[in-house]
Amino acid sequence: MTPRATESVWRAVEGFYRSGAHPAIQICLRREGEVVLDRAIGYARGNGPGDAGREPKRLATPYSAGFMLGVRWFSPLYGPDTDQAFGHLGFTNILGWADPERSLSGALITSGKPVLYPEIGELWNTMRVIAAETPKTAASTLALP
Amino acid sequence: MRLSLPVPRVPLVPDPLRRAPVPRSLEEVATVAAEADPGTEE
Repeated sequence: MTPRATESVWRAVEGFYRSGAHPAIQICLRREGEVVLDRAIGYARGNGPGDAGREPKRLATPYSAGFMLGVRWFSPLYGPDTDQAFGHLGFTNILGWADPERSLSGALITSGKPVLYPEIGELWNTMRVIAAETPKTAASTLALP
Repeated sequence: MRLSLPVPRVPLVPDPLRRAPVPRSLEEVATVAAEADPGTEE
């Protein structure tokens, strides 16, 4: 991969960002064992330089078609008090996430059902228990300031 | 090259597509981590 190729990829990412569809995008490309592109652009809501520190971001989980943040008070995705967590819901409630405050990353794979169904509360409860039963660890260098 | 049709933003009203604000200079909001030299031109 040439320098021109990586910059070409980055120009495409910038164009993607300029569309405004996503407030933040990160890309990491590893080729033949070397990280040749590792960049981020934009900020998730609440994490920009001008945003307040660790105030609760909002009650509802900030929705995204891709990665989503947890929430301090109520997060159906990662359980309560997980405002540092981030992950992906997938399309059928298949979760992959990481919580820097708990030094935890996880995956919950199911046979998959669409986003809302009558038994969705059991999925939320599973995630709630994981968060509740996993104590926070000492400050992680990955945790947001 | 753009593969999507740009939808203009209407000033002074909320964006119905709820698009994120994009700064004029993208360098201000971009972060570059350590990257290996991708090599020379092939």
